[in-house]
Amino acid sequence: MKKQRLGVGLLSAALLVFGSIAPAQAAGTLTIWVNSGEEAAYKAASADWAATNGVTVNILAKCGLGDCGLSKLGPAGTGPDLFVATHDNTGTLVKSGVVTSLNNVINRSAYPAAAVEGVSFNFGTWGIPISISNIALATNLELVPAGAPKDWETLESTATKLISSGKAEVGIVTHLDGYFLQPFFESIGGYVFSNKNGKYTSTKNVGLYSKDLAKNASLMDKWLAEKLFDKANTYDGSNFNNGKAPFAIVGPWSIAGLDKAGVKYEISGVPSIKGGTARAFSGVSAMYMNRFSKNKFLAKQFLTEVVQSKKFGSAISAANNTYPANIDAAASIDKKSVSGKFGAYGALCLPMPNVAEMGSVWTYWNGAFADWASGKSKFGEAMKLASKNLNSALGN
Amino acid sequence: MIGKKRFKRNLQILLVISITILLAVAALKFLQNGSWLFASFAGITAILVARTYWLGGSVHSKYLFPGVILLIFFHIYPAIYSGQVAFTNDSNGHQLSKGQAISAILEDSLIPIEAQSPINYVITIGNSDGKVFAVFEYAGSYWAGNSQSFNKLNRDNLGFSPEGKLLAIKGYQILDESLQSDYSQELQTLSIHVNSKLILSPSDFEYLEAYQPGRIYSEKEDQITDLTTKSLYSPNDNGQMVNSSGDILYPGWKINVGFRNFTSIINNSEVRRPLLAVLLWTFINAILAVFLSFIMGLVLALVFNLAEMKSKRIYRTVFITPLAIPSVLSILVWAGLFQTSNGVINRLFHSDIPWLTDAYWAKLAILLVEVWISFPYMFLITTGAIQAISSEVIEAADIDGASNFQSFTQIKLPLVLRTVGPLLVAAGAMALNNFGIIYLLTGGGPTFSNSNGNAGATDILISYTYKLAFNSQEGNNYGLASALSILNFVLIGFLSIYGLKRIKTMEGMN
Repeated sequence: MKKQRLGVGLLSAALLVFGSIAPAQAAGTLTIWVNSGEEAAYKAASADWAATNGVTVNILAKCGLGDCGLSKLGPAGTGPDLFVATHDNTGTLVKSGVVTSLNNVINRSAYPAAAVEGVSFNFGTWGIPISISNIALATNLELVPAGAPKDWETLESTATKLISSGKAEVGIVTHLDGYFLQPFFESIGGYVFSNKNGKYTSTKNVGLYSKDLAKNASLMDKWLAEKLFDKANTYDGSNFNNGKAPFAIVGPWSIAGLDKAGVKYEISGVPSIKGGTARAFSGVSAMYMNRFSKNKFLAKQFLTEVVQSKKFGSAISAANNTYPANIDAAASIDKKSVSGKFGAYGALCLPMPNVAEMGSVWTYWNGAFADWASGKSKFGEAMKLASKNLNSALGN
Repeated sequence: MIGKKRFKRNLQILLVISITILLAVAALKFLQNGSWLFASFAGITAILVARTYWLGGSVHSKYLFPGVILLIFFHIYPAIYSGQVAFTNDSNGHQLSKGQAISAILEDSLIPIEAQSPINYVITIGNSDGKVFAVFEYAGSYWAGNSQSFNKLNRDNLGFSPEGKLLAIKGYQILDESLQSDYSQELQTLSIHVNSKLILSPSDFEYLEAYQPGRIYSEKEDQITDLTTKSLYSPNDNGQMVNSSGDILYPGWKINVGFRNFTSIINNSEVRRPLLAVLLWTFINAILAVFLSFIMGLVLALVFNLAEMKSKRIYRTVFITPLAIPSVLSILVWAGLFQTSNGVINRLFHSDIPWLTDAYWAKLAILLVEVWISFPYMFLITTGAIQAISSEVIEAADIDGASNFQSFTQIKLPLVLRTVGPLLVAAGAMALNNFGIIYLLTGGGPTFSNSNGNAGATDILISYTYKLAFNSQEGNNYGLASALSILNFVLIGFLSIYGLKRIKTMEGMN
């Protein structure tokens, strides 16, 4: 009796076991990780290709900030075939050895040189640019009927007048950190790494406390005192949306919120105190290939046939309010539309450095902005300390 | 009666069989993925389950078995694993094995040869060894090659169609097009070393791309030579290839570094600078949080133990609510209340306090929330302890003429402490590791400007460790973080032992 039961048990166990280790997955599946919230756009844009080629394209919203966790997940073999990250992660990804060179895949002439430069590192090109995004100045047209300020004097006087008359609580609604204040930082003479014509010349030359900046640093303190900036008003447009601020620094991601709030606004570049336009950092959202992908041929085909097409660039950008990296797709954008205006300013912007050293820069640079914003130290002192610490951290 | 018993027995057997099968399946799945450790663990567990519950193990083992297995899997293994990480340089740029890193360095150095147009190839399987070969025409002859071998084919052994298409090769089987994708993994790693200046590698199922190697690796000397600069790179003690002038080839690989992570806690000024401040706040925070919430709980318990108090039940229920709300939710709500510009608290008091952005206010905010979350627990246990004091003792004190205050300090409090003491030590240990509140409320901020951005005024040791390990900007440093968490464990362990010892002596006094 007992033996019989044992036999039946073993037999059913064996059957179940063999059933479960049968072939793992069908051939022709491509797994792509994209930023959360953008998966629908990618799914729609790759559906046609997937259907014609009989390939299953799995789009998963697993990326956000940073390198998408690939530095750890890639070598562990649990990464996707392709993933989307911003170009400033390129250096870290390459140093971690988790991305494949796309030298033979990218069609360089389809993208602006700055975008290709952004995804290039150590003699290789590692990503396919999809869209370019940058911050820009938003002007509330109800408070400022004259429209976006042409120069810095106009901006400053408009803001201070509105604040003193009680119509506005703050001049410019913005996060007080390096990324959002870069145009102002540059306009008073600071820079992260020395650069010429939009190309970085040396990561040894750090300009957080450059001569010009040291001279003009007190301007930032003055602006803080004038409430042109206010550390209590850093939330994505909340006072701007309420009509309590004439200006805001916004990104493509803020547009949906602005439209929902029903503010009348105009997008423009940030005027520089030196005259002309101050440059923000532009970020290239790009698709990278996992070095440990098991479907590299298919992934390459997808990058060539889908990601580099004009149609794909237009579709992704339209869905996410960003400016397409693909030159043909960019040409078809209305210059007067919101993304057209972001793009027009973006073309003047400086690509965010993509070296791995950028991690330390953000840390010290943002720390200095925080000390300044909270009133802990004057802008000049904060930047002097940050520059000293950064140089020692980078071994300069 | 007998039928019911048999049914129960059969049900048990069925349960045991299904658990055994599940474990066996898991073992085979692990084996498929090549993780021997887990496979053998699952396999042995499966055998033991069958042995213990099916084929009649001893009664003791039936009770002990699940606990032991779960202890090994969920406590001992993770502890050993993360402990072992502390002795490696596991961090960004050191995630690969040495072999992976070297092949990555070599692959990245390949220079495409523009002059050589892509070469058409045919995917074949070698009859003798079953391996994948690319058959192609180069320099006037036909060749069969893969990563290991490269052979010239005799033209007499080839069969062509009238259009000149390759149809048959003696010794090789041409792969049917429908099977190509099964071999894509082999093909994408294929690189045929034609000569020292030419490497052919498939770019898809049809074409081979031509490359010139930029670096070569010599296994014997364990050295990489850069062919353009003629520079020699050899491994350093941190798992990287480095040349005499200090240039590093990326990526690096994971190696054991002994106690270097531990010594770097002391030696590395970047890590050390904020450590003292972080440690200090860790202790102050834990002590104050436990002390304040205990006092608050005790006072409330005393008040709501008075006979004169009305609607005690309603009040007690209200007090327990913070305990009943998931703390993740309540902490996030508190974070909203504390906002400087639009927060309810500042609006209520018409104040402009930078609750979460100023070092001192942020510490106060953290303490407030900690007390709010943990006082109900203290209230509950002290209420229990007070009610357990027999009324005779109190009455005796009354008769002896003790004042209310005297009877509290000399009778109630010692008796309460005796019961609650061990729980306070446990609460202290928990407070030392109170990651959730710190992370959700302030994120450890405001950040120290002289730290490497990983430490802030409200960081406790464990949140500092977390930020070191998972900092998306600075790069992850799992090795160092693991070393710090071992330090954290040792500290809390010793403090708890010390606390419990103290309480034992206190009990002895009674």
